[in-house]
Amino acid sequence: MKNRRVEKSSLIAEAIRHNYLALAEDKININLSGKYGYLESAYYFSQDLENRQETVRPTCKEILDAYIVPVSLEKAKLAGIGIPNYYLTNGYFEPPVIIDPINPFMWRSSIILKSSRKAQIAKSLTRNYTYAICCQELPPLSKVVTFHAVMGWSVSERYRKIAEAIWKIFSIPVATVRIIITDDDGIIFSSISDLAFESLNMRELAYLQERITWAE
Amino acid sequence: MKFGQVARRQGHDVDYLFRPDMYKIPQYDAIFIRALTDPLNSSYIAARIAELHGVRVIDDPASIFICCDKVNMYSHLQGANVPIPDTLFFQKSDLTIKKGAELLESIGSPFVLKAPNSSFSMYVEKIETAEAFVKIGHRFLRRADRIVVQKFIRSEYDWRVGVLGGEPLYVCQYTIPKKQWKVLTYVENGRIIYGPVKAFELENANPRLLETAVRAGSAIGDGLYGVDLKQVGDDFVVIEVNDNPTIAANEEDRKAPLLYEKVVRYLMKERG
Repeated sequence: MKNRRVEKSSLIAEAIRHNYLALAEDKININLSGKYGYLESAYYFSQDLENRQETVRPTCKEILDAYIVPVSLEKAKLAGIGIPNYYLTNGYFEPPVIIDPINPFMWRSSIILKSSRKAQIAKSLTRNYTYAICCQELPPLSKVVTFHAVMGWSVSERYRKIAEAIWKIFSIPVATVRIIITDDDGIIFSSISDLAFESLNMRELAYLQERITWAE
Repeated sequence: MKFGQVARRQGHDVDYLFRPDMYKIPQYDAIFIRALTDPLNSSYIAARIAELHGVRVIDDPASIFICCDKVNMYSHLQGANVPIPDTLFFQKSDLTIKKGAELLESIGSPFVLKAPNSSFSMYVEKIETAEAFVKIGHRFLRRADRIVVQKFIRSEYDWRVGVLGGEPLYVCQYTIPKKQWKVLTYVENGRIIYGPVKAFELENANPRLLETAVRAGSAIGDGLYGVDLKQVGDDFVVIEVNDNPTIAANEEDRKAPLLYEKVVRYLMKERG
């Protein structure tokens, strides 16, 4: 156990030493930070490479496509991935829904199952009806699940197909993917968010080690 | 409203879409966004959904995410050799008294500190001491992981050149109010101080002004931009390029009677 901890910390130290920049099999730069929030360090890291005319995954545009929920839903839909019905609203919604705020100040999503506090929730998540919210309708008897996706792979075999599709469509190498599992065990895509490189487990780190070489 | 009137006069149907109507975007030939743009606002979603569906759009997503981040915007201008004041980017580890003192020496005192996602002259401060560099720098770094330091250029007005598809569209001067150094200044009681807008005919504008503005627009993309410039001797330097520029009746359009027609014609080109 102790050895595994040492191994993990040395892998993370190596990633930090290389600014999380690796090369994939196809020699394309991969920004593996996992925390690609708009105007954060990893976002700027990709931007710097792009502005030096170097190829990088993800680009700033790919980051925004993945992290802005309605855009990610639309892009997934156009790529043939199942998504829930969704709508943008200034406040009105009908539970059960997953709500993602569309504003520069809030990121955390909420799952609203009952109507009882609808008005207060709408007011709060729209910051007094100033900003929009994105509502994804939850099908009856469905479950909301998240999993780690690492360059198109997941520890869980069940999620490998969608992890691979997400990597192809969005180019986000290290991500938390939210999905909805329907009552007939179908998987529909819901969102992509941060997954800090440091949060990867040993199996995920080992998988990455096989797929990349650290860039100098 | 005027855009709608002009488009109808040209034989087009015009609808006004609001946030809950975004699902209708793929049904249209073109979208003209007139709302505060930011990648984290719904305006960006409208732009990107339009682009994903091959609908022509002003402002296009790339113009929004480049112009709304001054680090990216200045990097594009630098990459295209567009004249801008001396500009440097910094992160948290750079915010030291020593670095502030070095900057006051090298770039000049005062200099200007900008948060990358500032607009309407907000989060733009004049820095006169190393202590202010550290203090205000930390405040701006709450909004982003980088900040912009730029040489201060004093002037009585900014030139604003509207550029559309690589062509000048209108020219005006934004006067800087007396005792201020920015076009817009927010004072304590919430009031905004701004000076008058003076419009000029394109034909009478300095060709070097127009040429510099067009180069700046082209460094960002092929859309609609409001390029701010200052005159230094006989030359012009670009202060910034804005997507979604203000177009107010009797101000920007005063000496550009074809402004609205040109925007509508640009939007109605072939889709894609």
